[in-house]
Amino acid sequence: MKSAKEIFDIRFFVRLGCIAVIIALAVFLYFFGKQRTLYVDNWSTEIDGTSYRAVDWAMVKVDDGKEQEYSPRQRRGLQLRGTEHTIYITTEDDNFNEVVLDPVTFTLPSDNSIISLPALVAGLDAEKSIQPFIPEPSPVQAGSAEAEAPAVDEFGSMTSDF
Amino acid sequence: MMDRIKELAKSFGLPRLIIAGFLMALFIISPFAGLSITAAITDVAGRFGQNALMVLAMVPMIHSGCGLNFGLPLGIIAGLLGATLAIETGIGGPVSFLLAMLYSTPFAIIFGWGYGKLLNRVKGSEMMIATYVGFSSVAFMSIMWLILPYSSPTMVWGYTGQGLRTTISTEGFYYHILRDTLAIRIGSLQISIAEILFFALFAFIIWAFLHTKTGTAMTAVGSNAVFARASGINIDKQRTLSVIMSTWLGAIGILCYQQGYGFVQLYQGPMYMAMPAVSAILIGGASVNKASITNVIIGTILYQGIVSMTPSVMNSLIHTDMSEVLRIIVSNGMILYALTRKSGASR
Amino acid sequence: MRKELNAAAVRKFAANNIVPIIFIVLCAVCIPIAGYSGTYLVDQIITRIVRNSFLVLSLLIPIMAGMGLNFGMTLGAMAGQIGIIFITAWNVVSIPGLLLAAIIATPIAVLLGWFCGKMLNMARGREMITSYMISFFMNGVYQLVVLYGMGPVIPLSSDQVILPRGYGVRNTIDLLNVRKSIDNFWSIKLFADENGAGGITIPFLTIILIALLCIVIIWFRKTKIGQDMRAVGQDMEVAREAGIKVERTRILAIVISTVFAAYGMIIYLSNMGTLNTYNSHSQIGMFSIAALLVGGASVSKASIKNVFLGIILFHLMFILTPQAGKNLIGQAQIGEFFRVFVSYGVITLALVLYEIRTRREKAESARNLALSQEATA
Repeated sequence: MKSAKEIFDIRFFVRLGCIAVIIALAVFLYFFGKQRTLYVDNWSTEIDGTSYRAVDWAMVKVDDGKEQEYSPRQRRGLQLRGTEHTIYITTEDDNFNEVVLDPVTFTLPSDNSIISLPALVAGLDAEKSIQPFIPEPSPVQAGSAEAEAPAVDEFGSMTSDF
Repeated sequence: MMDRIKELAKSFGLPRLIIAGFLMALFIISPFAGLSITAAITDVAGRFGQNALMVLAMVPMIHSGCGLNFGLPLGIIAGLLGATLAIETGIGGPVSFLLAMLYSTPFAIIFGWGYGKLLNRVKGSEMMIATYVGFSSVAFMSIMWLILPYSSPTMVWGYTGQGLRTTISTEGFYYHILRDTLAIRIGSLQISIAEILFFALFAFIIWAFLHTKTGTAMTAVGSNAVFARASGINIDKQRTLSVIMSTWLGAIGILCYQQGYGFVQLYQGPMYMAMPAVSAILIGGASVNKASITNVIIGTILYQGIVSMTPSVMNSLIHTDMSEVLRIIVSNGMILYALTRKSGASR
Repeated sequence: MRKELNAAAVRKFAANNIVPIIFIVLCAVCIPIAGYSGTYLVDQIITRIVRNSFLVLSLLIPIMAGMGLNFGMTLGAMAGQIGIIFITAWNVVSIPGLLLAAIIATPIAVLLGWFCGKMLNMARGREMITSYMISFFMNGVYQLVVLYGMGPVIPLSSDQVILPRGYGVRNTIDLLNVRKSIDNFWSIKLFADENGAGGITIPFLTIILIALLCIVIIWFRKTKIGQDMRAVGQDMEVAREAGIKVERTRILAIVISTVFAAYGMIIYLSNMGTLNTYNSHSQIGMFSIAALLVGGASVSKASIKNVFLGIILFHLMFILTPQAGKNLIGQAQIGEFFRVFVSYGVITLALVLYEIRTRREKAESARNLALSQEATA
């Protein structure tokens, strides 16, 4: 039998340290590389009893993405990576003057979330403007489910590519 | 008492005991799962008759020390050539089965001879090379099935008129030629005597052969090559003979399989057919360098029993069919177990 | 005298390199028949080199340790696939995703490699057939985990990955998130037409990764453990007497190979862009081994040079034969079957040649020993 001293020698701790570093890296990669969907939504909506009317015109940019134009009743899905995001909004006031809003920083509550543009423009907190959102599954997917049922394959196809 | 049980377990082999116990459990459970036991027995008996000959094809090569016949596809190809040629003649009925056997024999002998010569040059790693001989021959014949000038409309692709179909029905030729002769029918129970007799005939031939002078010489080559050489046995000749026999049994085996199954499977069909046969004989208690007819019979019943029983029992009990995955694990695990056992470390 | 010597040398060279020579001739015949353009072929070859060389390189270390061709590299491929399944389900994208997949795959590959190594130590002298059967056996376990375990036992809930019935992974998974992300990170395009089509793409990052692995393998040979492996490969008993832990060294060789194979599979899949969950891994071992053998390697000797020559020749054949078959006989299928036949045939030929050569060498050394004993007596 090895004594405790032999087991817990310097090598053991070096290895333990390496494993800890790798696990930390894995956790970091998970959060850094995870891609989530954010729907930027310009529909009239009601949050906590307050109604917000759709913005007539806005230019929206999230993180390093492309700046996009939004008209009323428009909704776009964006793919975002990382944990923290910033949204830049440019809109216009009633006299058609361009107004650049302060950038808002926020985190996403779910893999699929929706952010309400009218609420943000009206000055509502980012946390309140964002809600988890489950898009309706397209009916095509349901049909293909049967064809997708996998067959157990012991050896694979002879003529597969490499 | 405990020691005796242990002794018994040891002589029977633990994995075999587990598998036999599992099969017993399946049979006991099946009535409660709402399955008919007679149908189950019919199914197992049919599968036994279909597959036993291919398992028997393992025996000669194991006896001569060539290891497990992973090159069974070569024999199967000889059988396929016989089958396709017999169908090409257009003669139906029982004659076609005899013709198929007749036609496949020369191919089996030629293939087996070449295969045996090759294996004699690679003593010690027969199994690996056998595997790849089987694969290469299947791939080569895939090309051949496309370009050989067959013309029978039952076999050739309709729209191009060239190249054989992937599966050819044996209907009208030798479909169920053994299965439906001399069949015992009691209610839903059906056991084909002819199929079992057909296997018994070949099993007897092999058994008798192994007790002739040549047969004992062959066994001597397998069990102790140095001793065999010293007593003046031509080792290479014995080995080649055993390989020819195995190949021929493989050819007859696939014909027997086709008459029960109803289809001739070409192209990729024979690719991995060696694996169930290898696994069956190992489940029956054979090892890499020791096998008997009893091993063949027990092994085929156990293997085919599990293959046919697990899906239905599992489906009715848990509504998920995991049986195919389990079969892969059990049958390949069995081969792995045999390969990693200390006995017969030389091959 | 001189000429005779040359002729003998040529014959010996030809005998030792028969497989690559056959392939060069085969490709030379097929190129004009297939009628592909030069740039297309070069581009395809580069794509396939970056796709596959990591996988093929993973075979080198067990050969060094005298364990033959590691058909168990399929185990590594399975580990890599499990990593890829996880990151796709979690939606971790691009290079961080692939790195995470590699981190997930590593412990699985180590475990599988350790199991494989243990088994191979029990089946000494028939490592190849055993590693081959291990890959089949583990395929069953893999399917059990992926088809029934993922969902209820291993919590994954992604529409992209898990079947609608709630358990089991889909047949094919689209790897849009990680597709070519290593290749496109830093690549240039040569000779493309004005639309950007055609031409030759050179993905530098992947090439750097592969070069790094080559350097690691060369360096590894010179380390203590590498030397031990070569000693074990030369003669197990001598190595044991020299105080090398033979069993441990052999297991280590397989573990390293399995881990590299897992990384290789991740690179392969990211390049392919789709994962056939129940299929992708099954033929990987066979093709990688065939490619290595085509490059002139044998069961006991393989170098980095063999890897690259092998991949180039093997894939040239792979690309050419279907088209050649189509142009020659009017059926692409013949070409497909032909390349399968060639892959299997090459493995058979290389194995047979190796066995014959070892037996001849053994007989020769025995004869020499007898002669020297006679001389001393």
